[in-house]
Amino acid sequence: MTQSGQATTATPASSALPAKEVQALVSRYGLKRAGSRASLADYTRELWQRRYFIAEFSRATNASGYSSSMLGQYWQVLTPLLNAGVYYVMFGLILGTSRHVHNYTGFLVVGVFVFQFIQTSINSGSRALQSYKSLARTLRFPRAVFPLASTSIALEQLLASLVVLVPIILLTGESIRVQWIEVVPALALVTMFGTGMAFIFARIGSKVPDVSQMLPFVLRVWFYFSGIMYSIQQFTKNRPAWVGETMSNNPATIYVNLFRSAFLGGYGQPLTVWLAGLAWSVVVLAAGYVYFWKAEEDYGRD
Amino acid sequence: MTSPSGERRPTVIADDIHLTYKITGKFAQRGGVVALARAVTGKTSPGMREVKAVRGVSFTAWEGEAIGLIGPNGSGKSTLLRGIAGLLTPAAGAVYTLGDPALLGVNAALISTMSGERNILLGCLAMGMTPEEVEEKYDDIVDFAGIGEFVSLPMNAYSSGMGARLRFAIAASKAQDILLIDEALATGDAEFRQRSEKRILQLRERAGTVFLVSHSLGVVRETCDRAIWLEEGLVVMDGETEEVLDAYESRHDPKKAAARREMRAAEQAREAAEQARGADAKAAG
Repeated sequence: MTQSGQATTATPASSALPAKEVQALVSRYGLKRAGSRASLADYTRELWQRRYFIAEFSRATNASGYSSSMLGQYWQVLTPLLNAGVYYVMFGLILGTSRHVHNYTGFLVVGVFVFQFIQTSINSGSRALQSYKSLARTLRFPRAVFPLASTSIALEQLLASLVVLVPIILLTGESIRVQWIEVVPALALVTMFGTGMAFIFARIGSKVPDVSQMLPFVLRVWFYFSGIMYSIQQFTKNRPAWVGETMSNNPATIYVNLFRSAFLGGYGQPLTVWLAGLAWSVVVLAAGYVYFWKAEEDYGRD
Repeated sequence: MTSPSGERRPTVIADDIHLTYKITGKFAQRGGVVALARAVTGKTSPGMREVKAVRGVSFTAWEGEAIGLIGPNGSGKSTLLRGIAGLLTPAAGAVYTLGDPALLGVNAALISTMSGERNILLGCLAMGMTPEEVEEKYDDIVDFAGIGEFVSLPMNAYSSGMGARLRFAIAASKAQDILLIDEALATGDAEFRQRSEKRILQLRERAGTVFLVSHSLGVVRETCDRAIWLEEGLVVMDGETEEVLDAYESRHDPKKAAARREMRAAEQAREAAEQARGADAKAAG
């Protein structure tokens, strides 16, 4: 026991034990070290047990975010709609990047919505451990719950956007096609990618909080390079081949194009693009998850 | 409480733990130029300060014990509790636990703009229940909180007492192996306080070990059989509640301690007198 040198005489019976005895007790009764990092399998199992909480928490957070506005949850669809409108006026009408692009409105709207999801995943992922700090202070979770919750909040917004998307593309002259089914794998892939990115930036953001200040600029640049409001094909027509190659292998471009392939006629993607998307998803998710899990004990040192 | 083999098992062993936390934010910093200058001169983290809240604490808690953590403000009681819960990773030393420790409290998981109903679900799921378990407990929680129809209204429409009652009802709905309570007893009106104390007793019976942080020595006296006195992150004394609390009082509240001593002396005198009278009566009879 740590005597502070103050005038106390009582020597408690069951207080400090010599290190050897501590270890003996610990191994004899099977005590666990508090806050220690579980093995990857146990960690995943614990996380899986929290799935109901993650789902309910993100639903409730999304719903409550609009509770003070008059239109309430309609904003969930209005926000992406307004976003698409602004880009349409800027690029489609004023700057004229719509030339040579078939169904520019659909092309742009799909791009904006999908990129928005990637962007939100990364942004809110980088802030996840910060914003749920009070929660992490009272309840014990595998900390991966927090980036997962923030991604599932973003996913819910993406789903709302897709609901808006359907009438928009029908109005722009697309017809209901079998290819729409491609949305399912595209959604799965982009979700995996977004989750992985959220894990990566959650760990970085917990160490260097300033990252979340920098990210919007980096993401803006990424947005402009990803062929959201212009066709990369048109843009790189007169440039060296590697420029086009590089730009089209950017994961954001890949996912956006997969969604375009599903919704818009004339944008079908070859199998190689699907495989590239799959590769990005699997690698980023797996690497991000392990990377995040490795620092589990550090997140408790706040 | 003992294990089947009849021996008492240790539930929490704190082995010389040090707990620190960083405070980030602005303090005593004059504007961006100074911050920039500091960044240029290479002085690290201008807005960060480390607080050593617990500086080497060791103890062993056994099954069936209820331990009160006492000490003045800022002595590290709540931080120690978070260390035991595994919410704060020790800077040095380690905490070993048998079973899962959990803080009593779900406030952080609740969303005030959502209905009571939704928050019950949210809070219970946050504590690790499955949806089926929540359904099972739901009526109990509403009854215990005594909020009736209000359960369908958003929580920010509640009076502060109602909110506190619901939060307590949710938090207390799950039995824990090692229960950590941080000043949770002082919520709601007198009637509810009584009921919540009763509920805490129930939880105590089901829990292996209870830790209670409280400023009210009365509550510690009533509910704990052991007390640990912390001061500036160090253990001053660890032992039986009466003994530790008496020592604590004579340090921090000498007047009250003296009064208590007098009261006890008077009581003993009275008892002695009564015994003497009884003996007299016997002798006479």
